[in-house]
Amino acid sequence: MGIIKFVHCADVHLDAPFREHGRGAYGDTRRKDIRDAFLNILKKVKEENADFLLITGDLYEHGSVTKGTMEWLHMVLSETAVPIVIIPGNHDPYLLNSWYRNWQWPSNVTILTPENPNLVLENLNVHIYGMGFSNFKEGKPDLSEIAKPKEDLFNIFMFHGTLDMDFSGNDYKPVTSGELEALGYDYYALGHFHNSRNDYPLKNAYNPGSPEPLGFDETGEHGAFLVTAEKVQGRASLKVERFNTSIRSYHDEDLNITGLKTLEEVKMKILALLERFNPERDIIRINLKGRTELSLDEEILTSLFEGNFLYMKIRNNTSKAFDIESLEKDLSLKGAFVREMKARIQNVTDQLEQNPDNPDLKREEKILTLALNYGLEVLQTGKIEWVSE
Amino acid sequence: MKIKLLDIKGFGKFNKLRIEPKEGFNIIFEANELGKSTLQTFIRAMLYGQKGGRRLKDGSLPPLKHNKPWNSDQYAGILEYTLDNGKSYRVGRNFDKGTTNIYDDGANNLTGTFPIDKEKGPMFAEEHLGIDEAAFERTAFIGQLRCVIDDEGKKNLINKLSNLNSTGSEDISLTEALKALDSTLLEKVGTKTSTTRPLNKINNILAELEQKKTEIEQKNNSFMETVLELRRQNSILDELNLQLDGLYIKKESMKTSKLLSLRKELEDLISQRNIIEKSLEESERNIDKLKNYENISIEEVSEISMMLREEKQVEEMLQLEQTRLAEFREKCDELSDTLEPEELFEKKVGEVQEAIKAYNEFKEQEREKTLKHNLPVKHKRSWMPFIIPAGLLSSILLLLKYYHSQNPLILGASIGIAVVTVIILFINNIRQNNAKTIVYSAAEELNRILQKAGFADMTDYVRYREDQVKKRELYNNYKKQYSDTKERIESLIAKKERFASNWDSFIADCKVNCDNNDKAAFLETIKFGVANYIKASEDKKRFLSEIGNLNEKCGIVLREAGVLAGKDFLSADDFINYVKDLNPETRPEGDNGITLARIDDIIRETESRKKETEIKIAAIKARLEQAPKESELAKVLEEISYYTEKKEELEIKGASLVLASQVLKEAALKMQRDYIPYLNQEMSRMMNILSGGRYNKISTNDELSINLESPETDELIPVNRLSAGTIDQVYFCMRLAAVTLIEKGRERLPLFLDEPFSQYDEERVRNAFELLREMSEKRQIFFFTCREREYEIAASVFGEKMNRIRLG
Repeated sequence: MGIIKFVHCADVHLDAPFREHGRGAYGDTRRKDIRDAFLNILKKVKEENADFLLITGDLYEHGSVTKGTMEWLHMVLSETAVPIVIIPGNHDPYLLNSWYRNWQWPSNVTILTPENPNLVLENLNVHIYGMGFSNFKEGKPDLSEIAKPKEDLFNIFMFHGTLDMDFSGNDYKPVTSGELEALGYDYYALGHFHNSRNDYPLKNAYNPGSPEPLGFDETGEHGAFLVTAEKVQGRASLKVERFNTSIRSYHDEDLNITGLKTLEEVKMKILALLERFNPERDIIRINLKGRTELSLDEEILTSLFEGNFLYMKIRNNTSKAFDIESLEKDLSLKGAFVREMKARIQNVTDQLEQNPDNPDLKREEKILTLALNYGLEVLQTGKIEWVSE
Repeated sequence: MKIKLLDIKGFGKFNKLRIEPKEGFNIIFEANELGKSTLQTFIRAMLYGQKGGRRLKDGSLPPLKHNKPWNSDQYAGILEYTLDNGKSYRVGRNFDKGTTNIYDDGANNLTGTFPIDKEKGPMFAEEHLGIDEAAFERTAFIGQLRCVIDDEGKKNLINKLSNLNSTGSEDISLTEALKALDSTLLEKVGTKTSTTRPLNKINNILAELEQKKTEIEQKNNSFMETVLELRRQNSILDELNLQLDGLYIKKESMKTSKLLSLRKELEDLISQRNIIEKSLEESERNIDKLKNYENISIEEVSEISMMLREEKQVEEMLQLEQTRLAEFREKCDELSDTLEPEELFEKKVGEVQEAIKAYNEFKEQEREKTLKHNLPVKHKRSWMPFIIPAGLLSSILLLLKYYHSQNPLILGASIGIAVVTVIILFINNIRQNNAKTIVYSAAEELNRILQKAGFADMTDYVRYREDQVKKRELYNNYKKQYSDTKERIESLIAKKERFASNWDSFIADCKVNCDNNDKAAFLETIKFGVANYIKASEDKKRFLSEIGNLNEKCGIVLREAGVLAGKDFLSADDFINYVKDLNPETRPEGDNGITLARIDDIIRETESRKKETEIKIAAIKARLEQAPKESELAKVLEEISYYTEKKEELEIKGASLVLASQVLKEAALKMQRDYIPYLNQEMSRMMNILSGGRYNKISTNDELSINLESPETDELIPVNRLSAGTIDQVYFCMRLAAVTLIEKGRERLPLFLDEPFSQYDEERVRNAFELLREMSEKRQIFFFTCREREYEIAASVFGEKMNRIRLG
């Protein structure tokens, strides 16, 4: 076979809702960003004269995708004029009422489903096997049913799921590198996780991440892969280049304001931080941290600095400037309270060290820290200064 | 801890002041504004440093600036102290430079061994005393109580006591703290029972959004079902179009086939018509030949034929009747010879019949007479067989009785009965003989008349009469038959004549030559001619009708073909020419005997279904125009996400407030359990001294209310019922007790008392100094006052042990 070139993307999430509440029609703007990011992929396909395009799941949001978006998708996919191979993901599963089943897809699009998981692109000597989702959640997949790679063809395994993560009771098709490697495919086109990854123990497994970041847990550049592959005498060689497609970039910044005496100082520090960012591109959340006696109103501060940013939020995560160490030694109720709270916080912190992603423990830690602040504040001032959000 | 040296280089109003306090009681008795407070501030500043920076929230200067010396270049000082363990330290601070040095008694600089506070420098005091500045101030400094007598002042003092009692600090109120937490929870967050608080509002918004989400999802599902339906209907339409295409092809093929079949049918019809037309011509020729029979009807021939048959019968009957007529005449003549003349027969019979009648009448009369008279006789006759034997038997029986009885009466009776019986028998016989005699006479008369008429007896008469009657009847009968036959003969002759007339008339009407000699043969000729003529006429009629039928069939075929071809065929040739252009090879495949009409039905039905489907598709497309709005659901999901986050934040805050409250309560409870018994004990001991034995016990119950026990009444008096001065004393005791409690296990703190007894009377002041004297045995005390009374009482209580420190 000759050299083939293809683009691999995943997790586009057309018409996804956004958790953050930005200015004006923020959600609509962001959904347009997703479309533009996807167009960047299609543009790359054309520019590079790619032979085909792989979309490994979560192309759209089953619940919220609209007819208008599907019509737009039909138009841009048909214009792309190369074979496009799609597998459904956990956000756009192959349900009875899914658009995959009921929509008139362009003739150059092939959707690999449990009934029809194989595709051979004869002229390119490429064999593709797809394993997507037929429901919103699916457990460990049965890999024994997967077709064997075809000799003399370049074999691609498209998979939407979880690779090499030890999530007990994982609902998103957990598999290991070893299991996939045993299948003997030449390229493992992954999808599901929104951050790009190509450092799996399985060397020829690639997860492009979402073309457009979708939240503050998806900071950094986002894009897709351009793959150039060749198979000579049964040995495949790969050249995988990552290219950027994202329109925006998320930034979740912590700003410690301990020691700042005045609001002006805080403002100056925020301003200095913001100067690093591009209002046209960056979506920013500043988390004020540390201990301060200053009264900080999130909304007022945000309105002061949001300027031209599509999204800029300041969150006040500071606590009152209590000298916890001294207070701990206090012989009055204050000290007794601090000691009790610190003991409880320490207990949760210890548990978090063992289980750092446990959301319940994180929540408990947050509650305990806040309770410590509230308790000290009422003991010292007899009231709680409540900053509305 | 005991302060050994206070060397003030410059601090506030002080400039180069060196103080060497004693280990026990030190009194600073100076007028106001001479620096008593500044000295206290200096000691705190030396131990814990001073905060600098900008102005404080209340606008006042920070301590570092506030305490800058008024008239000295140096802003510094030296503090020397000895700890309970005997170790001494020297601290030098330069507040201007912000430098601090700590040396031990071996002149070793220990500065670097203590944690450093950015503002305040090395935190040695925290380490040596075990408490921070706030705790030190709260514990070791007992300031002017400003205990006024009014209710407000009393209340404040009780609050302080209560706070001290519950939190260990007079400035910290557990009640206020809990209240603040609760009110914040209620007002700023909301609870399950509240309805209008932020959490409740968010919950309401979320409920509305969830409802909206459900509605949009339903709309989306319905839209997707519509898309599905459209796809289904489109596929049905495609299928119908395919079916129709097939049907149209099939129809065309069948049409061609049908047209070809019609052409053959038409040609057959035309061929049949040609044959019949030839037969028609033959018939017409025959009719022409038999034209003479045109006016003779078959009925007429039939009538004549019937007539000839009847005429022959009439002839035969006439001969028969004439024979019979001759027979009847002959029989009549024979009978008339044997018959008595009518008058004679009538006379003879009349006479005899008269005699018989008379005899019968006489006999009848006699019978009636007998019937009339013989009715009793008949009775007698009926009784006679009994009467006579009975009479005879009775007579015999009486006679026998007589023989036995010899009674004469019985004999007489017997004889009497016998006589009577004989008489009755006799009378009866006489009467019967008379009747027989009369009947005999009438019969004699009848016989005489018979004989006179010439008859031997009655039998003879009867024979005669019957013979004559029979013969007369027979004669009359023959005579009547004769007459009837004669009438019939006449009638037959009349009929024969009429037949002859009819025949003549028939012959006259026929234009056919007739041989009158053989009517039957002639008639047969006529009959044959007429039948042939009729047959020829009927054939012609039939042929014409058949030709008409065939023409009609041809017309039907042409019309059908016209309908199939979609054009009018004016003649068979027109149609045949049209069919010439059709491909005769086109044959419908697998028609399974299906007709063109059926195909048309199926096409109509399929077209109707197609139309229905197209209407459905149009309606579905119209429905699809009502597609859910762009991003409608995404926006609601975003709102839900936003408010869920807000809710989570509020819930976390709420949970934190609840937790803070709960932990505060728990901590307070624990602290009180550990703290209060000792506090009560210490306070009681001190109060006993302070009150001069009036109150010997102070106790705090679980509700943290403070009560005093008086030995006089054994009554527990709540602190709020005490006088302001006594409350002040209780407070003083509690502060001192708190000091001992706080320093338990730690360094013993020096006490700084700043005008604490201003509200006390002399006795109370003395008692208080007595208490301080006891305490000063183990603790350094600094007593600040501007009152001479306090100074003098202190001097009298402490004597030489009192050290006066002068500030000027």
